[in-house]
Amino acid sequence: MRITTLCSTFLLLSVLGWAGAPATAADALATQKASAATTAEVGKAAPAFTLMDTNGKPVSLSDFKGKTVVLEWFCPTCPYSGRASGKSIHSTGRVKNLVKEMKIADPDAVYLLIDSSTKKMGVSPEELAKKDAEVAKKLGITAPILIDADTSVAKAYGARTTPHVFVIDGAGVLRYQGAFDDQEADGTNYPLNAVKAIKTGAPVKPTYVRQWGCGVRTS
Amino acid sequence: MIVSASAIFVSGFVGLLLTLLVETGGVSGSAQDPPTSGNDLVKVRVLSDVVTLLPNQPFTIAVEYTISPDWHIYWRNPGASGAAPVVDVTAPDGFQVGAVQFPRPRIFGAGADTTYGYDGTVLLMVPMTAPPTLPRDEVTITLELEWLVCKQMCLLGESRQTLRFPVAAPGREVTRNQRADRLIQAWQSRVPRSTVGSSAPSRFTAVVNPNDRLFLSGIAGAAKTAVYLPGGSPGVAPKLPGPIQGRILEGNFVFDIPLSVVPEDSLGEPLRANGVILLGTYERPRALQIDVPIPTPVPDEVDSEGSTASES
Repeated sequence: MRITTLCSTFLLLSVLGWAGAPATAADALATQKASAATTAEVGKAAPAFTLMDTNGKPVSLSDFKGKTVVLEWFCPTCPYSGRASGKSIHSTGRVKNLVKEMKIADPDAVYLLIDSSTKKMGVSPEELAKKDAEVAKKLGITAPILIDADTSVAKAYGARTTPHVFVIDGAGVLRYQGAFDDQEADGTNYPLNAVKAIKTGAPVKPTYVRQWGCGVRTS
Repeated sequence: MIVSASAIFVSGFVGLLLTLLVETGGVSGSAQDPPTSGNDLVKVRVLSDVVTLLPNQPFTIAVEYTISPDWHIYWRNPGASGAAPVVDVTAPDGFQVGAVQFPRPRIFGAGADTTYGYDGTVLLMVPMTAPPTLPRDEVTITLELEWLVCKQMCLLGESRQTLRFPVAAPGREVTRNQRADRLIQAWQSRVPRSTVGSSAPSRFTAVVNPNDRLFLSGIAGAAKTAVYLPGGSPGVAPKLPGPIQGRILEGNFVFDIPLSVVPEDSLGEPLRANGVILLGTYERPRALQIDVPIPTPVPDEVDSEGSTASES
């Protein structure tokens, strides 16, 4: 059964090395411990991970080596994130606009969502995946939503809110983390500016803007 | 469920009434009826310390938030997560609208997950001043309110409130709303006191030294504890997350806080270390507003041999 497989592999695949998936389950657990100790810091290598998407497909940061990756922490019930509201970056079309502009600036750039809401919502990983798939369909979200079943990736990145955004360059170095935008109409989108700067070789400014949104619970 | 109602505050002067249009969110219904909106969890009402207005009259508008048990809203710097309440005031041309005054917050959580905000009841206040010329009959002021209320999950609430102030006849005194006035004064006493210029308490020191360390000291009085909360100024943050405990030495508080100063993250604003010092308890509060400018660093000069010059 796919759900059963999804559940068991959630426990085995989470934070893995940049070099790729380990050969055995024991390797996976050993690697998870090592990587979980890594804390995301601008200018340093971003913590590697392998997570399952809502279709049960494993997705690793290392899959996108050489490409700029934007990570957005997501929660289906947060009114700044997956709950439709006048503030939701998804239901107001701000993410769609960002991805459109991002693809113009850098066609190879990748946008991924990570959901670490199992503890916050008190649901199993498969229940969260099902909920996220429903919300994605409702809001027209096309980017993969990766399920951080044990919240270890949120811990490794220091993800505090939904949406908390991280921009990683093609060499795997974290270049920006923080707010999605300044919440103003036609305002500044910080990750988009970071993607453009990375593409042109310019310095990323700012590298951090205080994140806003609903809290991410990791304990 | 949103219920519209009208509340009338009368301050001993029948005939001159300030009508407040109050939207109440009420308390969430039942365990089987989970809240779906921040309006289900936070009741808001708007009040003012005056009933009538005169030209050049200073007055205060306040928003009272009554929050359902176990839920909280946020301070101007929410901390690791959350969002500050929005109070947007629309007044006729010529009115001066001051910055929202936030009373000292409570601390929720710990370490890197610490947030700052309010539970129970809180008033946010907006100082206003009427212009030299007013219309003959009435002034209407509108407030657009938004708030994020959180426990395990978070919900947004919003409300539009309208205040109508009759304009007092020339030569008459302004009519005050004594009950609202007392309430507003009580909450204003909880707003952190300015420490800038002539407002600085005696024996108060606040300085950022060249090594980007924020040094604060002053009279602690009877307080047994002193805590510094960062205000969230862009580009400047304490290197340690969460609230910072100060030392109490011979009746004085002392903080020596290493800062991370990143000019490129300042969003074009002047670099400054801002925050508040909390002295005493939430119930018996004393709080000081900290706002220390940080000079924009000048790149070190590089001599002909490639070494950087520095002061000894």
